Amino acid sequence: MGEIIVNLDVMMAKRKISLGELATKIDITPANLSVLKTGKAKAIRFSTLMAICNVLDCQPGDILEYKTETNN
Amino acid sequence: MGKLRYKLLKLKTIRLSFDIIFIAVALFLVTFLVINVILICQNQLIIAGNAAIYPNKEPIVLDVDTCSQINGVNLDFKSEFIKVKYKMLFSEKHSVIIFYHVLKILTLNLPLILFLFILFHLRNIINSVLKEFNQKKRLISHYIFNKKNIKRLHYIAYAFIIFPFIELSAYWADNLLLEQYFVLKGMKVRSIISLQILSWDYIIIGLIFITIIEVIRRGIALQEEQDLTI
Repeated sequence: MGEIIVNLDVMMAKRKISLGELATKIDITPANLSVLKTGKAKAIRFSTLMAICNVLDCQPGDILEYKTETNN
Repeated sequence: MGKLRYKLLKLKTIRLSFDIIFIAVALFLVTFLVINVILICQNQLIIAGNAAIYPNKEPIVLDVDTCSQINGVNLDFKSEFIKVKYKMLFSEKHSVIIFYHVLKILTLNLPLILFLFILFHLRNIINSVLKEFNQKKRLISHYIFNKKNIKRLHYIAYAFIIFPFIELSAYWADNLLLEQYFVLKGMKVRSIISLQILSWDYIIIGLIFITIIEVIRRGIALQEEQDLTI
């Protein structure tokens, strides 16, 4: 089994947006966004993903990435 | 904040009462053990206790007059055996005596030991809740239902399940000893504890405990998943 990597920090750096600012714009707590950014999250709601894509002006594929075990 | 303080106070009171009961029972147990050991040291070569005598062929028929004539023998009319107090004197130190003394102390104190064990774990569960309560201000359910406390509840459940089996082994050992050293012609000498008296219902309590723990464990998994869904 591979794993899903969250590249939110890369996208945030590209858009030059801070964690707190993004959290306010998508209306979730910075603590929860931090959980998502560090890859500790177990699931992500479509609504959250949509809000992030909307604010960062990107596609879900830019934030999430699938890595197979052999690639590691 | 007032509510929080009230909850804290309530938990502290519960812990304190658990502590007091635990210390009191532990002291009682230790005293009892010490007295037992002293008594054994005084009468090292004597084994005393109760036994049940069953007739081999015909059931015992006794009337009230006969009963009053037999001194020192307790008769139970409802069951088909006679309860006797026995005292065996061994001429030399034998490993059987030591084994029997240990067995006797163990069987006498087993319920107390179980009680102490359960009390200890319940106290630790409350203690863990209090510890985390002091550190963070989250829901109380998060502290109770964590992996450490689940382990403690499991220990309690296992203790309940194992308890009747320890009693059973004591019963077997008692029977073995009586059969070997207490011989009465035409009679069967058995342990006074019968298989029906053993606490078999404790197994059910243990199994119910395990079922509840499994439900709680599933609840924790769901809670974690919910918490980590962003």
